[in-house]
Amino acid sequence: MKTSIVYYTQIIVSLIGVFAFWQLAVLIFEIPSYVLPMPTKILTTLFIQKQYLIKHSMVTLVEILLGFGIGSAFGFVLALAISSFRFLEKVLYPLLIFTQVTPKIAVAPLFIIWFGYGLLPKVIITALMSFFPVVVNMVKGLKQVHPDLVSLMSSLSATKKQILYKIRLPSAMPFLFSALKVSITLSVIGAVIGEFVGADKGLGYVIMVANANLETSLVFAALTILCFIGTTLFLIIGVIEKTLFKKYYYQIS
Amino acid sequence: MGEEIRIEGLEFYYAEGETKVLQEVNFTIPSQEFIAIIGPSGCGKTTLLKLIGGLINPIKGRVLIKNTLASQAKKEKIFGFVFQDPTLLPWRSVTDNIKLPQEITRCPTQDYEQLLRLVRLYEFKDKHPHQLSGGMKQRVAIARALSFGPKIMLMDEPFGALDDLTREYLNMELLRIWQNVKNTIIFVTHSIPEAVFLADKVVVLSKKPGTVKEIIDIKLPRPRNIDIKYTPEFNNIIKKLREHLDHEN
Repeated sequence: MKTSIVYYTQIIVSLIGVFAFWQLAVLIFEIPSYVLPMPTKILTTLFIQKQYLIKHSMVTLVEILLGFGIGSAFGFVLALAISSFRFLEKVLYPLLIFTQVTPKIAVAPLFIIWFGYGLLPKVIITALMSFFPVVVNMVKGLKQVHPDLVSLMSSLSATKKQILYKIRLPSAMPFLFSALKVSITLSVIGAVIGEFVGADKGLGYVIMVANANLETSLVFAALTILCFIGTTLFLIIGVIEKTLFKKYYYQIS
Repeated sequence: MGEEIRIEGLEFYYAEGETKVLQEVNFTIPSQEFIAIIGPSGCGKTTLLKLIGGLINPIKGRVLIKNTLASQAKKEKIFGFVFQDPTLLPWRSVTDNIKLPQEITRCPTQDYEQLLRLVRLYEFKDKHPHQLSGGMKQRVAIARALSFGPKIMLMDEPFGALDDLTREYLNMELLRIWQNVKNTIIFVTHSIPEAVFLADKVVVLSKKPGTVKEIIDIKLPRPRNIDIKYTPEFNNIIKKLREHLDHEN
């Protein structure tokens, strides 16, 4: 308990330090607000533009959550299929890698043409970014079963389904959670990319418009919210993981 | 008593053209005997165990369990396996780990508490594998193998990764458990003293391709305890076995 108090104090103190330095630097070097606004200015903007920012944050949050949910669910199912049927791995893996090496920012305009300006193209881009880590990690986790354990199950004439439910899935859980942590951060990026290319709402849209108007403090305010959303979602997954691992009595390393 | 396992002209290789792992392996095992299989590393001890347990099928020859082919007999859930690695499921408690075979085979449940008392782990029944020592984990693995009442226990270097003292203790424990359960045990090891201390018969395999070189009856009295290791009889058998194995290397 005492160590965690020390830990959080350290974080808060170092953050305050960074912002104080930032504030002073802007004041001393007389950096114009449209280049780099002071932290206090960003705070004020956050407060004044509260209604506007919350409205657009909700749009982006929905895109992130839908894209992340669909993407990771798709990744999960795909990993199950790949680990169950060996030929699928050979067929699908090149395709999967192909979808990942294609820069999303480059294909995003296509999605706007195909699916319009609304929610759908953003969700698709987000899902495309977030499913990949889940597939790769889950396949690894599902396959990583001790060969002796497979022998043991075979000596008991266990079915494939029993091996999957009793052994493969539970032992893949730590892999799934590492993947979800990567996916959620990628989802934030995916949603913003989608909005950059073509949108009339969302934080990505706010950033584009504010940038064009040289309202730099509003850009920073939107970025602050994106950071907050990303970090919070990441932490939530961490908390779920910890609760599950406590139940499973995994060693948390 | 009577004979339980008959191994006839067994031959095995993993891929066509590769060196044979086993060749012309013949021997029989009476029921309720403790058999140790010993041989130089890579002589196919583990493969032999898998063939007996019906996990793989021989290229030539056959393994009969009371006149049934091993691969058929496997379906009756008569084999309990213990490996060098305890392979417990980390998310399950000790009790839930030993219940795994029952969940798979849907055989009638057993008195698991009594089983845990037999392996002296009753106080640890709610612990999880990471809270146990190496020797305790291996005892859980033994309990798991016994949990569905298999007639034959196949043990593949089960104590090979443990320190000497733990190993000695578990050897004693295994003998005590075996006296209680009275099943057939086939125990693969590369430790000569361990084989002699535990077994009624030691099967010596030659190096690759493995074949039975010698079967030595161990006529040491039972119940055995550690003191037996200091008797001349014990050491004579060890010497004899070592000579057989030395010729190989």
